[in-house]
Order: sequence, then C-alpha cells, then structure tokens
Amino acid sequence: MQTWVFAEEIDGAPTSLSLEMLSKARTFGGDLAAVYLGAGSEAAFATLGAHGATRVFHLVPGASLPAAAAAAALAGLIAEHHPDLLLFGVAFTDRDVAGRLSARIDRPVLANAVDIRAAEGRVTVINEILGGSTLVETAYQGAGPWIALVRSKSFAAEAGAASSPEVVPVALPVMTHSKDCRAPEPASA
Amino acid sequence: MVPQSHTGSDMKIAVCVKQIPDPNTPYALDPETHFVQRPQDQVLDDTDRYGVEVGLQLAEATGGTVTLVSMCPAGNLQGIRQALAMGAHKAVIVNDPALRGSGALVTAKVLAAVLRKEQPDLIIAGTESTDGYTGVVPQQLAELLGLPSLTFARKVTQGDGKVRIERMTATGYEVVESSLPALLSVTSGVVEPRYPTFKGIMAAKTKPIEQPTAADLGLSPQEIGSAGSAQEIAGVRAAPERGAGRKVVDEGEAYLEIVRLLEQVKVI
Repeated sequence: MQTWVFAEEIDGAPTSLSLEMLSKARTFGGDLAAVYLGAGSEAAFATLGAHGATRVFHLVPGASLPAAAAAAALAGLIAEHHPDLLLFGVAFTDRDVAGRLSARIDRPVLANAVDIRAAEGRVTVINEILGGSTLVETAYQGAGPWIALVRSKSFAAEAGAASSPEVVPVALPVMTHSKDCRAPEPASA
Repeated sequence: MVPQSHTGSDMKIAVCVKQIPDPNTPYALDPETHFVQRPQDQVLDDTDRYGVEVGLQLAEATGGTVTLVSMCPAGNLQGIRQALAMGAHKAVIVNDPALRGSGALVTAKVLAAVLRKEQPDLIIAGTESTDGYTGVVPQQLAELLGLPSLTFARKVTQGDGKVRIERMTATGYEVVESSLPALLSVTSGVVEPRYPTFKGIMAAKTKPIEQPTAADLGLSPQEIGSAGSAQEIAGVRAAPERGAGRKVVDEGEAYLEIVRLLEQVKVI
C-alpha cells in the first residue's frame, strides 16, 4: 500500500490537518509520502518526517493560483510512482487540488471522511450524513489511485521518532488557461 | 471549451444549481439503494441562491443572460422555477433515471457536457450542495472544461473582461482575478439573494426549460450512474449516540478542566 498525503504550508509549517492524515496513514503500513505545497524548510520537512512521511514531494507555488498546476504535477507523479491512495483535507486549497486531480486522472473522490479503513487491497471511507446521525461506508471500485477528502479532527496528530525524509523537488507546470489567474494584492487576515 | 477573451459586455453566464428535498422535512434513505429519496416537490438548494444572485447581478451589469444548468430528478421543477423566478432566463436540466447513483465526478462530466454546448463566458457554482456536500464538483468542472477556477469567493466584482474575487483562505482571504472564460464558486453570504417578485414568479412559468437525457449529451450508460462512479456503498448504520453532558462547577480553576478537555479532543 502506497499512500500520499497532501500538505499545504500555512505560516511556514504543514497544516495540522495534514499531520492528522499522515498519522492515520501510518497505520495502513507500506510506503507513506507527503505532497508539500509551499516554500518549504528543513523544519517543515522534519515535521512531516516525524509524522511518518519517508519521502516529500515538494511543490513550490508561483505567482498564479497553484491548484491547477499542482493537480497537473501530481498527475505526472502518479503516472510515475503509482500510489494507491491520496488523502486531502476538507480545506480550501486541498479541495481545489483534489477536485482538479480527480477530473484529470478520471478517478473518484470520496469526501468528508471521518474514518478510513484499508485492508487486503480494499479501501473504504466512512462519512456522516443526515446531520451526523448516520454513518455511510463507501468502498472504492476499480483501479486506483483513490482520492479521499478527510475532515479535520477525525484523527489525532501523533509524531513518532524523528526522521529526515527524502525531499524530491517537483516543478509546477505553467497552465495556459490559468496563467493570468493570480493574486494582484497580498492576502489579508 | 475553447477559451476566448471576453470584453465584459453581454456576459453569458451559466449558474449550476440543484433541487434538493426540503431541508425542513426529514430526509429518508431508500432501504435498498441507500440513496436519498427525492419527492416530486423539491426546493432550490439554499446555497445556490447565492450563485444565482451573483449571476443576475453580473448579467444586469453587462447586459448579459443567465442560464441555469442542473443534473437532478426534475420532479415538478419547483426548485428550478424558484431560480427562474429570481430572474434567470432559461434552464437546462439533465433529468435521467440512469443518472441515479452518480458520484461527484460523473455529475461534473454531465454538467460539462451541457456547458460545452452552452459556451458561457462565466460559470458560477456554490461551493457544495446541502445534500451531497462533496465540495469538489466546481473544481472538477473547471478541469474538464480547461478553465481557470476562482473558488470560495466571498466577494465578486467584474470589469475590463476580468472577474475579481476575495477568495477565502485558512487565515483570511486573498484577492484573485482572472480573465474570462472562467469558473467561479461562491460561498453563502457572498451577496444577499433577492426574493422573487410576483411578476417574476408568473414569468417563470413560461421560461424555457430544456430536459436532455445523458444519451442526448453523448454519455453512455457505462459512464454514468453507479456503474460510472467507481464507488459502492458498503454499509449504512446509525452513528453512535453522544454521551450526556457533564456539568463542571467553577471554583476558580474550571479553565484547567477546559484546557484538559480541549487537549483530549486534540483541539489544542
């Protein structure tokens, strides 16, 4: 089982949601990698390593909104490395990248996961419906990779032993349709 | 979709909308399929009222038009007519029993098939529906159509052939703009949706509503519904009941108990 976890950089560090997902993915066994979108730093990569990532694909955003380019870069990485499962958070950029990636590689997204089970090559996602009164367990069908969106606080973020993951720089392609989709003003709180 | 620059006048706008069972009535699941049972009377998803309003305001500012695009059981079209009564000019509803069980990506493919024919300058969608709430259909749609996407807009303006938004982020917002054609997803509260007037309600009764099937759009049975969605419901069960609350009397150090509980649920 090869699992990749998307980790956006916020204030110089991976989001807590990405660390929660890494902690859960560690329980699946097999290879675990992080896909890190941000400027990156030794400290950020070390945090990902401590939460289980043995490899970090490092995507550095440019001037344009990064989602389309990140999805295209991820599709290329998937074709090269063949991961089984990709976890994204229920968060703004995560949803943008996961949605675009899903359409690009023609694989489904199961959203709002509060739990994920992986055993014997079968992965199921559990989410809440009807105001949280009912749990639905949905299994992926067909070939992977499978994509899930995980709700915050579904899993505890638990660091393990310190480790230095292999960091693989990944260039973001220029997306013709989105090249002038950019932020003319700095972000505001 | 073939990207063409747009000057900002006569903007042709498509708004993706959905009819859902009235949220004020209890939802029921089909015991065999586990799908939500959909009555004839359905209402416009409240989150879509914001997209319709943004579309109408942009159309009014540019002398443009608003077309509603939807994939849902038509029922008696009550929800669609609510949006037409607000002022949308026409609707295209993909209404086909073969679509039952479709996941988010299949939904996006169906909407994309309609939008390729409509060729709008701007596509507007809510960030997620109230009943399905997968929250990725707008992004999937943008990718399928090869369009830039301005997502999670809390404010929208246009000018010089560009759309500019305040995009919500984890720490606040960022201002993002794009030339057209483009896709826009709007959050609830982005504008104050108008109430339909009596004149609007009467006019909605005669506005054109096209109802193509999936086959009309060139989609095969293998591409749609449960078969095309690559997912299967493995089980449905009641969620564990939450325990009763616990009262803590503050004798000066209750804050320590609050901190302990927040740590316990991993909030801090």
